[in-house]
Amino acid sequence: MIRTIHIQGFKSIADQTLELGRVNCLIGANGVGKSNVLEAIGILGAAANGRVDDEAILRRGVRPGLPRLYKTSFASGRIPPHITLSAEFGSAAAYQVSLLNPLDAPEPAWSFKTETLTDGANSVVSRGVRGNLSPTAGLSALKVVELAPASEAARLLHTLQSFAIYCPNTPTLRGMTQDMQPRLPLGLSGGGLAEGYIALRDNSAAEVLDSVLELIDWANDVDSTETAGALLSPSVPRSKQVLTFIDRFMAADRNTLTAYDASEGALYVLFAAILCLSPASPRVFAVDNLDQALNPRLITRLVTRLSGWLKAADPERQLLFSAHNPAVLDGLDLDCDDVRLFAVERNSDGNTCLRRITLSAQLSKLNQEYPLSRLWIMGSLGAVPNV
Amino acid sequence: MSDLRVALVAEGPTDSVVIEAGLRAVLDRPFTLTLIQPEATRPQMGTGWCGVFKWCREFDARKFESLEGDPTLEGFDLFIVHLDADVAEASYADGGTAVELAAAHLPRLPCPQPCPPPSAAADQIRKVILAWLGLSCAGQRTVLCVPSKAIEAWVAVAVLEPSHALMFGIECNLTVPVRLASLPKSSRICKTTREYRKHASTVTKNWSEISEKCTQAERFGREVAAAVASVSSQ
Repeated sequence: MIRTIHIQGFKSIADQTLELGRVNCLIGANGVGKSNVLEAIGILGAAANGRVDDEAILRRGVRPGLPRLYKTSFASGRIPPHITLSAEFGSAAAYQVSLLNPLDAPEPAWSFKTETLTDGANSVVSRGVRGNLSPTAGLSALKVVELAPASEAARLLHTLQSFAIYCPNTPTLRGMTQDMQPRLPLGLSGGGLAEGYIALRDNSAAEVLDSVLELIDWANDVDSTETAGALLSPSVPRSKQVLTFIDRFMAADRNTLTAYDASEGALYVLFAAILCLSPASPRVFAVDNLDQALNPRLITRLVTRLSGWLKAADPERQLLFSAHNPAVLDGLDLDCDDVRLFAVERNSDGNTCLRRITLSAQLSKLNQEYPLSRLWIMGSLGAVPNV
Repeated sequence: MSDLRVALVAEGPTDSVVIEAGLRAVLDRPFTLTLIQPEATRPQMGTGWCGVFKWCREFDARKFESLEGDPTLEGFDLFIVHLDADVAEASYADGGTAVELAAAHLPRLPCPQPCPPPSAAADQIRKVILAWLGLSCAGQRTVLCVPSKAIEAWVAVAVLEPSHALMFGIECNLTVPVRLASLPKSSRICKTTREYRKHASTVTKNWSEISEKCTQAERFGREVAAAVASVSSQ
């Protein structure tokens, strides 16, 4: 698994290190830089894939921006000449890049100033000023084909390359609008939910599928159909496959709803489950606002499932997500080192700061009266706006 | 060195803006400040001195020997409890029957003191805060911030000309908040968070003048420095 991400000079992040677990929840006030943390990993993923330009970063769910917006810029300090990002993986693999793009005359693609890939004591790529190579081409992406696929360096590169930030929205989950970043098993906006669900259903053990479907308490069954003519108005745009739900309260001959009519909460639950469980999902991925559209009790229950789902699908799979609903925190088992909670805040200089929240034994004892959700709202965990 | 984490219990959000601006001047390292009272999801706590009172009583009910020893506050390095010295003029009855009943065995309010010196009422209010918290003394990392008569005195010194009429005896003037809000339109400072945020950088920049003219600001800065030194030594 990726153990550490180090970010220097990217957007509001001057210099921060993130020690990752399997499930990583980022909380903080609006505008503190939670998405910037995720985007920095997206940029690192693009670099690991050999090119950092708008096309590559959009594909990873990163918002394209000009160098003057990407590089850290605070009133109290100078703008650094480059952005430096790195990741450490497993016991000894590491990848680091420094990326350049002039502020005044931005190039379409960022240049690699330095790039290193190490596998234990073995240096796979190490270079500063580059000879005849194109400065916008990453060398590690080429070198990886020479590495044993099971080596930690190769796994690190492949993990970073497939990283993406998912940001689901209801119309796309309902299949009414096209996903601009389609992928397997799901597009970055949640496109292809019906196809993703069928693949999940056909390839999952019964108890795993039960752990997903029991979260949708109003539905007896979930399926998909290509012939939704009898279920949907002709004016509703639809994808080839349409997700269907059997409502357990309705009369037997009129109890089928499509994703268009169904509760959006059910769609977001399926979205999270598919990403965690599908073999086609990236080994590390992020979901911005995992809690949207979900009832507090449902999101708590969903969060309790995440670690188990990820581990069942792939022992090295990791999830980062941001959330604003305090109930999310009550689903995090912070006694387990795999599950980590990070407060994201801006300090008095405006820099985004990351802080892992751990609970003392004394505070854990008070959990019944002071669950994490309450502590967060009280301000005891920080990560709240001063309003 | 990691950023200092500061927990603030204050009368209101505008006070928080001024205290944060003061901390920027006093501290030589970055910090993150979290306003833990007032807290938007608990409107029953209210704002103003009654809000501080209720927060302190809740802390006392948890029966910990200091703010530093309260597990629900374990992530913080420094604690600041703010109350304006003009609270010495208030009465528990002003906060309603519940406050009056809850304060039955606490030091009485009002407890007015002659001014000058401004320290007389400020010292009295410090004793009141400690009694509300159920503590005999503040912990090493706890600072009581008691501007006299109100924190608006610090804003006035930062923003107004030194020759302005308000500057004379400013720490003993109970009308400074009202006077700031009734200045000519071009220099008027209304008590809103946005308005105070506009002046926050001026408070930071002019902190030495504020400390010179306001003894309680100087005391606050000195006590913060001592508390931070104790954080660093741990």
